Amino acid sequence: MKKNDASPASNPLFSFDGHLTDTAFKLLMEEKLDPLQSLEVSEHLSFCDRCLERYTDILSGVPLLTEETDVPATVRLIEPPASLHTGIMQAIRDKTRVIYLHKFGSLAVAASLALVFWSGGLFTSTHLPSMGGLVDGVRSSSQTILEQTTELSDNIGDFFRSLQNDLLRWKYHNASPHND
Amino acid sequence: MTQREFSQFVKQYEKLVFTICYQFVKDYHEAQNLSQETFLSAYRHIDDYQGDNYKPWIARIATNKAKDYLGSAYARRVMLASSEENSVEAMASVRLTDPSEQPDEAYISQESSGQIEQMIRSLHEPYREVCILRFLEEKDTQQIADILHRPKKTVETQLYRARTMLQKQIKEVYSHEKE
Repeated sequence: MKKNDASPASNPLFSFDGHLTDTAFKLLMEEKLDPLQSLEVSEHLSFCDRCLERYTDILSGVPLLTEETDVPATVRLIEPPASLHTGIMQAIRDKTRVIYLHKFGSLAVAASLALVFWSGGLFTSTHLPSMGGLVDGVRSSSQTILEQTTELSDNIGDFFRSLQNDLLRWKYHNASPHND
Repeated sequence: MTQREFSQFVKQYEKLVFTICYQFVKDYHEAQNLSQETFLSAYRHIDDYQGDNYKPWIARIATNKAKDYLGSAYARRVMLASSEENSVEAMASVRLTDPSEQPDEAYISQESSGQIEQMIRSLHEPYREVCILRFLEEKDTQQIADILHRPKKTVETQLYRARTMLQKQIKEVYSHEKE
């Protein structure tokens, strides 16, 4: 059995109080953190206000002075590709368009329903004066919608029946030995 | 905030956001994707932001995006490595006289709790405190999160990673002993 030293293993990225060291920031600036270290540092910055403030200060050009002397005094921000701004604004426009489409889609459905009820006579003055009238109105609208739906389904049924007959006739005609 | 105002906002902070993303992921294309995600997220929430200084706010969103990306990449790597290790272990287990005897279990049963404690105490930060509180002081993740002022989710992922490190250490020690 290998004996383990009870003292904590050294990690230059975190100080004893659990905050990021200057070395951590320096390695981050120089892009020298390995993937796990990058994950540990980003994880810490995601909740620690103090270290995040230091990080943004360093990125704004405030030098690191406490522990290290060879830390670059100024940090050059990286120029993003020109397409970044355009891409972001395009994505936002697309997203906004989708949101508007959903909103107007709902409005259109609501308006269509209102039209159906209106055409069914729900909103006519004879139906509105009392609740009993309202119930009659709904009944009348339902009746109208039902009649129209039945008529529509009958029409669709007729259409398919005639289509089926045509197909059968065509099949019979093609199968006949005297068809040519 | 109108789209025109947000466009100005993007212009003002795009360098900062891109630099943060790039410093963490070290990949130009991925940094561009993460920057875009950062600004889209900012656009969704900017009207809810109560503060007056946008710099730390947008920097935190960018850091979070980078963290999520690195976390997924790390998890993928660990899963791949563990599946490879498992296949090696499966091959090795054929040679064991007692197939029910798993190396880890056999080792832990012989190991004194003091030695495991030493391993936990020798972990480096940010895992040491988390593991001491969890394994030695038997606090739950919410209590640890409250004590260390870390989000519960972060405590959970740190515990998961620490457990993997400890398992690896135990395996190494066990394999040294076998030799």
